[in-house]
Amino acid sequence: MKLVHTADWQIGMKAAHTGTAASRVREARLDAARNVIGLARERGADLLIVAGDTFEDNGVDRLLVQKIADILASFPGQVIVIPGNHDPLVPGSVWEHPAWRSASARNVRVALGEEPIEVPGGWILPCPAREKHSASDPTAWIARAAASDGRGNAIRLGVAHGTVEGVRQDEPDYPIPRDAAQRGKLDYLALGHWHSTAVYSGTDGAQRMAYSGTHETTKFGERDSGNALLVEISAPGAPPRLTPLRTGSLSWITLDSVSRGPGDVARVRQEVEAMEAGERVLLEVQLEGVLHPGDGAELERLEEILAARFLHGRLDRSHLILAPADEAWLERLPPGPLREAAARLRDLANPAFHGPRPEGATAETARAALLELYALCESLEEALP
Amino acid sequence: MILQSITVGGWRCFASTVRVGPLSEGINVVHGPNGTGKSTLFEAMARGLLDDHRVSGKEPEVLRSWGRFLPPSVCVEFLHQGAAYRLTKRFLDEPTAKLERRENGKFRPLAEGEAAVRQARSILAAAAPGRGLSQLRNWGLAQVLWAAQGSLAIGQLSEDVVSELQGRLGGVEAAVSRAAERDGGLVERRIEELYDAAFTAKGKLREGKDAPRLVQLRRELESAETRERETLDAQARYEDSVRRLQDFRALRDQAGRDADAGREAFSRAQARSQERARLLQARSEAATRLELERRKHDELSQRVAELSTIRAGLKAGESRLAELENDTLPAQRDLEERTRDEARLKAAREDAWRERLAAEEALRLANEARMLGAARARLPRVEARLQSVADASARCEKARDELAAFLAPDAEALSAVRAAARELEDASVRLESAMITIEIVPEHAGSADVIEGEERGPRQIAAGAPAQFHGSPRVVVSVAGFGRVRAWGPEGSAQELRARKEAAARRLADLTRPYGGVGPDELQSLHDRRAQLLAKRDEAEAALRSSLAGQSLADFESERHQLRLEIDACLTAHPDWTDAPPDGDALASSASSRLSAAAAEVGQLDAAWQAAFAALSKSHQRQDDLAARSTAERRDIEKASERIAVIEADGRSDEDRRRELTSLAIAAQAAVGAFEAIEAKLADFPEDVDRDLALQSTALARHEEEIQRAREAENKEAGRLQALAEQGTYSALSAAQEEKAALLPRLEREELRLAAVRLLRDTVRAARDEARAVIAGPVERTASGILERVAGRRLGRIGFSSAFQPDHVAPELAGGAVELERVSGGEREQAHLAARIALATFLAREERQLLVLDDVLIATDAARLTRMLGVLEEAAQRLQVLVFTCHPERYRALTQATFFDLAELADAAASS
Repeated sequence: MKLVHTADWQIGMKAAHTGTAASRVREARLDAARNVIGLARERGADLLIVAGDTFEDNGVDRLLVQKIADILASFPGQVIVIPGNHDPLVPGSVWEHPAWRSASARNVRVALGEEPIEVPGGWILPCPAREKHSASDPTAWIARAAASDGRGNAIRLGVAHGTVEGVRQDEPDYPIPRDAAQRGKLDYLALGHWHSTAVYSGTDGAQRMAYSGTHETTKFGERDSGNALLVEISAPGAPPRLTPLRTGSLSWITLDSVSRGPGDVARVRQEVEAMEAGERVLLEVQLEGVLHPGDGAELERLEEILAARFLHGRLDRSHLILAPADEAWLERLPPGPLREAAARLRDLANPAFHGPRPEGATAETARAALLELYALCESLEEALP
Repeated sequence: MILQSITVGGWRCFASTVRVGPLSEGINVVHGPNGTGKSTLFEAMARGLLDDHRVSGKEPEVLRSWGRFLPPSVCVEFLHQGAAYRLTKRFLDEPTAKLERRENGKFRPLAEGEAAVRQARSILAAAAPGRGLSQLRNWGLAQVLWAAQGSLAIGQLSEDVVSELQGRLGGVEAAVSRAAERDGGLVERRIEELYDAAFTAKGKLREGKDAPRLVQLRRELESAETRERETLDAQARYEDSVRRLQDFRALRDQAGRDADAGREAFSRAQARSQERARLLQARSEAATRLELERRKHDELSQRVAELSTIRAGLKAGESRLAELENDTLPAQRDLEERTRDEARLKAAREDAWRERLAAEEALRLANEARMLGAARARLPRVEARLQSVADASARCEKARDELAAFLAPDAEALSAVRAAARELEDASVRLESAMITIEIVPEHAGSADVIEGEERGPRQIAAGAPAQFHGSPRVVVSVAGFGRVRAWGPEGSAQELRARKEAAARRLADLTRPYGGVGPDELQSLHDRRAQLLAKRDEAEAALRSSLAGQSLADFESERHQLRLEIDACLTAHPDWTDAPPDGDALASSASSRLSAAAAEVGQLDAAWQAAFAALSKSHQRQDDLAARSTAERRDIEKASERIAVIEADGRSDEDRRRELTSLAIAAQAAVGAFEAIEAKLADFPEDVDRDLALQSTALARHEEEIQRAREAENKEAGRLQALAEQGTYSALSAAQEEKAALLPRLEREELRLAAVRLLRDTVRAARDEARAVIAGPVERTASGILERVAGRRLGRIGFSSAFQPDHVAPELAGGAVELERVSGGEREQAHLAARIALATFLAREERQLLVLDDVLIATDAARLTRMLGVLEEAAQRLQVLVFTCHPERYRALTQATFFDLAELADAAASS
């Protein structure tokens, strides 16, 4: 049996952290779903299993439900889908949409109960989720059935959505025993819930439990995501062979940099400029260190490049502080109120300043005011002696 | 710069050329009535020094004299930096401007045209107007030095004037500050432009088309937050609907399970109920059968018993009848005897009653006779009493009348009269004592004329007879042939005593007037007489009371009337008694005896008759009883015989009946057994099995209803949920939150930028204000000193803005700044004048300056005006002061001032 295991498509996911690119980020997830189908077809899979959280929430736009049903129906083989904790089997859920019962989606079956489903070459034992949170082991019924019925002479595939024992979490959420595959006498247990691809070996060394991970990365810092798994089982009881398939197309890149001296910000800007930009790249730049007066323009330039060249770009400059030593430009100010004001703003820009601080004169505001003054002076350089 | 003269012609009211000058270096007062051209002269001076001669248009046309086509012209001679200048300008028609400087005693041309205008402006650091005549903001330092009519308050000075003031006032610091402002002014202006682009003058963000980007972002954020709230609410409603639908399904399932349990319970209850009903039916049938058997047995048993009883009763009845018949004859004889006794006693009783009635009538007559005698005896005594009372009443009435007709003072009035008389006598004595007396004993008869004294006028005097003349305080008598005699005494006391005597006399007259004006002794006699009459009245009233003895006259009269009525009534009934009244007592005694005897007889006969009547009644009753009993017995005997015949009509013997009775008893016993068996079975069922069935039926119906309700609620909620699901609430919420998240960083950046602009501008302004405050301090002190001299310490210090504008005072009592607008009008103008003088004084440190005051201090009182004039005189040590006024008298205290009568000057110009 050859199947593709995928999960956690999170269709309709909110992408507020990607600013104005949110809708495109969501659209990319549909593209990734199509990639999964394409790769499954390309690899000649007979079966496609979606192990839960196909949708981000049961309240997603119904148009998305129809789209996903159509995408799944485009797979030439059979598709088994289980509800996950984000789209559990509750009244009003996405699974009540007529798309699942239409003639065009005949090959797509949503497992609504804990009962075996016969497929060519074996049995699927699904564990549909019926609520958002649960402290019960969703695979328990498989173990009970196996204990009474035995394993038979067919390939047995389990599909569950939960957390394998050993993964750290505050409260147990759909806990799945580490040896659930053995207990259920399964050849393979397809898991969903966690977004990174992970494989678990049994006592016989065979890799019989795995998270495929989400088919498209969802956020910065998410490792080993954007994949599906090709699972090949030669015979009942044989160890499965697992091959990751790259399905995601977005790149989420984080660039951390420290500004220590004049020109460092410019170098970061150059580095960003040199990156391969594109509609599929999301870039987050985190700058910390000291800010020199001339860096203001560089920061503005960097913001422009991030906004123009990438699907989403964000500059975090909240950890920058003004360079205390660089006051030469202050001396070039004419003596009098202007210089006096600049000196006061310099003091106020220091977070450690303990003197009287006018209302609204935070260190950040003072820093910005000082930069504003610097920029004015630079632009009106002829006016200064 | 100080003025030396002003010459104006063709200018408004100055059709002819008028010259005011030479002006002194100190105080000059130009005065004239309204309309003489004081403010026009001021205007001409200002325009001459500041305006471009080439200005044209409607605005300068108003400078022409009315009805004339002369070009307005002005010539100002002034001193500046030690040199004398003459500036001549001609406006409108062939405009010219010429500036001359005195060199070697003559005025030589220095500049013409625009150059002349520029040079003149530079003296006052004035700025050229954009177009048209110059406005106040173009006056340069004259904004401070010259106060036009109604404009004593220093308005907002232009920036260049403020800078000029800073420069002239601040010395080195100001020079540095000016340099800094000059150099950094562009930056500061740019900062102000940045600020003004986003904020209003009051520091609020601009709105409308000028609003900064931040305003739009905030609006967008508000909309996004609204959408977020709405979609969040929709998502919450969706999730709530899911939970409710789950709950309704759970309720429906539970209701279904309850209904199943209810059906089972209902079936069991129904089965029990049916079994009980069947047993009840069986019991009913057994009871019916038992009843039948018992009835048959009882009927036969009853017939047998009845037959026996009837037979016994028949025998007894016949025996009783025989006895009754034996008792009938004696009873009849007893009845006859009783009847006779009763009749006899009844007749005797009636006779005795008649005798008694006669005795009662006799007694009544006797009482009437006794009453007549008593009334006849009482009547004369009553009449005598009435007469006595009438006499006493007449005497009493007479005494009262005498007393009422007699007028005399009472003791209090008499006392008052005596006191008044004493007072009069005392006053007379005193008066006489106070009099001056002259006694003349002439040798010859003659006449004397009392010129001054108690009794004035001529008087004859006899020879050898002393003639006394009284008076006070002086007595003057002219004696014919002798001369005049005068005598003096103490003044004052006689008049008082005379007045007192007259008052006492008036009072006495008032008191005695009601009594005929008689004297006290006579009044005393009247008073004594009155007392006698009072005593007499009291005596008569006592006699009357004694006659009445506690009763009234009406009582006596009523009693007399009643007695007469009684006597008349009795004599009417017994006319023969009028002349021969009977002896009532004797008659009463006889009648009483007779009545007693008759009453006793009646009593005895009544008792005897009642006993006889009772016995007769009893005898009748016994007779009737015997007859009734005999009749009843015969009837009973007849009935019993008939009944026996009926019972025995069945043709059976007594033995047959006894055998049948036994078999019937056995059958009844069997029926009892069967009934009791069924009863025992029924005892196992509770009494309320039917009620339990009803309860179960009700419960089942309720479960069915609950299922139906749950189903309906479920369907309704499912419909609602479907509608919500079709909205895609989560996707809408995601879109709203994404939109908001995209806006927030932009908003924060823009807020930071504008906060930075505000902070930058505020910091620069604060630094500038502090610098200016250093320079403006001395001006404040000087102005405050002037104000204190004029108005006292009450208003405290004058506060200036950074633009040298006085805007508040700081009274000690107020504890803080008080805006000048809140100060009285007079004190406000004093504060502004103090400020102008202070600024002018500082401006005049290097060169004497001209201070112009056009009709100011109109609200200042005379006292403070005097003090202000003293201040002006002191200021005139450094300033040339030019005052325009229509009240020259107010300035006459300025002994060193030079006065110019503008009306005279204008007249002289017009006539020359």
